[in-house]
Amino acid sequence: MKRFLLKGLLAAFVLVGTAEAAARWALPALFGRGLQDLEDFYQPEERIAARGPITHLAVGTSQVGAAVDPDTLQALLRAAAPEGTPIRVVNAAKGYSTQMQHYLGVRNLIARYPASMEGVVVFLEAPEGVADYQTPEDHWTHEKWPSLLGPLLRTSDLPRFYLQSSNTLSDKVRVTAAHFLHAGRYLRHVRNRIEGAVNGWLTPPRPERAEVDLTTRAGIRTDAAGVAAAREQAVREADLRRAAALAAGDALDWDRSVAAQTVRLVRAHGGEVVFFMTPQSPVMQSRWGEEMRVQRRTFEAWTRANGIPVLQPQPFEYGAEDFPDNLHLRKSRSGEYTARLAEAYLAWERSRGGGRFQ
Amino acid sequence: MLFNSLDFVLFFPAVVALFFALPHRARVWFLLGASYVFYGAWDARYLLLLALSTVVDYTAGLAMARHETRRRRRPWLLLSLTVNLGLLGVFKYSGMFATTANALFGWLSLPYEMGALDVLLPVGISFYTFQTLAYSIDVYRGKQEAERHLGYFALYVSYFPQLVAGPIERSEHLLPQLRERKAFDYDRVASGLRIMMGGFLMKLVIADRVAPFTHEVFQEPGVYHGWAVILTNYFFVARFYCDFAGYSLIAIGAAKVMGHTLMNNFDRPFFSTSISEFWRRFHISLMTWFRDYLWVPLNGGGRVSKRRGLFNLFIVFVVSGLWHGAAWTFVVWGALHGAAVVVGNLTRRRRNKAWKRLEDWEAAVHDRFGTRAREVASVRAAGVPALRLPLLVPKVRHAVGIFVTVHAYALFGLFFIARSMGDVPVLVRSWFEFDRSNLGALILKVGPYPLLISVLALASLIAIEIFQGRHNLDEWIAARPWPVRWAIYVGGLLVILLFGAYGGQEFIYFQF
Repeated sequence: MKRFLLKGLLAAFVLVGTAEAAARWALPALFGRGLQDLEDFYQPEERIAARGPITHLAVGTSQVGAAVDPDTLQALLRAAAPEGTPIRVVNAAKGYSTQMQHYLGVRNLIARYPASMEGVVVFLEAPEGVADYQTPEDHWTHEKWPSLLGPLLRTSDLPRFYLQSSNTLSDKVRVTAAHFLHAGRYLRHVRNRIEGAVNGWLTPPRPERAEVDLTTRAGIRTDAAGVAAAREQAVREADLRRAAALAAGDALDWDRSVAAQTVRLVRAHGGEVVFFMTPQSPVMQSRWGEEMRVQRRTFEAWTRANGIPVLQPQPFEYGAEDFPDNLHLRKSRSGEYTARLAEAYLAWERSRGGGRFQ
Repeated sequence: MLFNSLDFVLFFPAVVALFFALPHRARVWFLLGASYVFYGAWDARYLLLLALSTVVDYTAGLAMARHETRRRRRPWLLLSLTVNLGLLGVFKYSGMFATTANALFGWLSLPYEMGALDVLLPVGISFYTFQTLAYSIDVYRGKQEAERHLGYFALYVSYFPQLVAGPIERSEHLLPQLRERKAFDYDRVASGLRIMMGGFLMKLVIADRVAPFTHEVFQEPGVYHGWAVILTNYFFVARFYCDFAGYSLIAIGAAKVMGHTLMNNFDRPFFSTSISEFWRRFHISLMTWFRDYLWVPLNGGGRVSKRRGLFNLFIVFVVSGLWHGAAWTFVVWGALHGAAVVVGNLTRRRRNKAWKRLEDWEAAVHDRFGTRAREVASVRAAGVPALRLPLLVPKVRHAVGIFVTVHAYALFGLFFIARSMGDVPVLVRSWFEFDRSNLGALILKVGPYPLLISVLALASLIAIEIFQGRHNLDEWIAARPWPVRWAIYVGGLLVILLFGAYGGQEFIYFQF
């Protein structure tokens, strides 16, 4: 048995080592920076923070990625700020991300680049005026992309992740593999790349079609299959949100939530958190029921008690046609929405004395 | 817990490591606990049914052992039959019964309606109930001694590698193995892991790769036509075989790692030359179960006429169809196979005669060009090897047999695939609608990539099965030098990781 174990360990070491070496050195060369930015969550943001201050950080799901145009927001805020005031807006939203992942991402940014993150304003999404109620005892990962958590964890976070989160054991193992091994993160992308290459070789080139009016921020897909998948996911997301609200009931202790942890973290570093309402497609809205209204009431009470604003970017009228995949705001309207968001944010800043915008 | 899940990848090595680390006396309880954890991972409530079947048959076995005569044992056998078949009846067939009764009431204009029980079909119930029934019947017949150790008996019922989808093991084969002390054996463990890898390849790279085609075409019959349906029909055959045979290989390999030998459940069935032969090579554990516990009793130990024997064979196939699913489509599917076996049996002599005539004719043709034959003989006499033209008719017969069997199985499979009897004519009609063939649309919808992987993997499987006709693949790999062996292992692992489909598709036979 000893011989078997030794052989097995040696084989595993050689195989895993080779795969890891390929993932760290060969794959980035093959697939470029885009793959790393997609999978190594918050790496792009850390590169930005390494170069200079981030003053405004939007975080959340891909719906935030679609709705908030960081360039537009940055331009508007710079125009409103006194000349020479550093303003840097970053949109760290990502599809299939969770609040816990964003909390860890912001934590890492603050810990590694404290000067760059001093006084940061973090924009947290609050669809229909209420944030998702998630606690550290919930899932730390989205079912579709568990490995996204891997790069965000410190090794010292692992015991808490195993003991506290309600992720399944196989999810936890998957995340641990993604934490330590780049091969664990990139395998699905290698598979997708092979599949894409073979499909491209086998399928005749199709005539040019009009592009879907969607941004590619936050990993949003604009290909036909991706749009179809997003349409299916919209229904699922709405149901997941409703199920979570049902499970939470009306005894919501928002002080225990991940959102509250993020507020405390950012405020401790001299920053501020603002919630903002994101536009929701009719598919997402149709799932709203009484349990969501209970959640909204308790959320409003908590934000008022803690002096946290919930921005309502208005006026901004929209309909079903503004969500090409039933989930994400179309690209051509994100500028307008971002402008309304900027106005709402600046109004709040001025109401409390102006801050950077005096 | 699915075999094709990360949970099992973590569960299995841990179980094996602890199994060999524990003293022999503790292993039975450990494996029993592990098996219950494995089964309970689906739904812990299922464990109650498993435990019920276990306790009832354990008790019935011990009670039967106390009596010498079958007459005194009979009530206990009836108890076992009632409980096990009752479980199947309630959890698997109550819906079918209610639907059929309501249809009958409607046809007779009777003002009754039977409600169907809203119960979830426990995974593997058809397998473990048959396994425990086999035990009870064998004890009743005096063929098997009653197992007195509850732990070993419970493990025999719930042994996790074969609990949910077989092979359906006989007590005389598995129980003694569970009692034996098993030492770690490197070669046996390596062999078991190789067999498991083969199973994962069949399941993940073939069965799950063709699954999107079968879902797309058969979830709504009538949307696809012509070649799209034909191709997918054969893909369903491939999926069904690779899913089930793959599971069986994983089960056999997992058991072998721990030192237990499970029966071979598939013997290259698609190289069969008749439906009869096919069912001697496909799901062997189930068909031998039906042979020993249904057909033999129906035949009264061989005391019935040939016609009656064939009728009983037909009944066995009808019942086996019903075992596969609680719907009339499965009954018809079983009946079709039964009819094919009976017809094959009745026409065998005539067919053999016809082929013999052809073979004789071919031999005569060879002789007619007799100089050649005589030349061959004289050249051979001189000790020079001579080229001899092979006789083709036996090979043609073999090929025709395989061709007819595979296609018959595929066509009968339309009843297996159909969600209801109403779907069957739609499916059959769509087979022949070549003018509306939309194979291209199907490929574009599902993607050419799964099609390419499926076709390549299937071609590889056929080549491997041809090879296995003459060699034992596992032994052949074991005999290679270590660089070749490890290249095969790494290659197999890479194929699984890069080309396997990971949607957590359940094994098809979990619905039975």
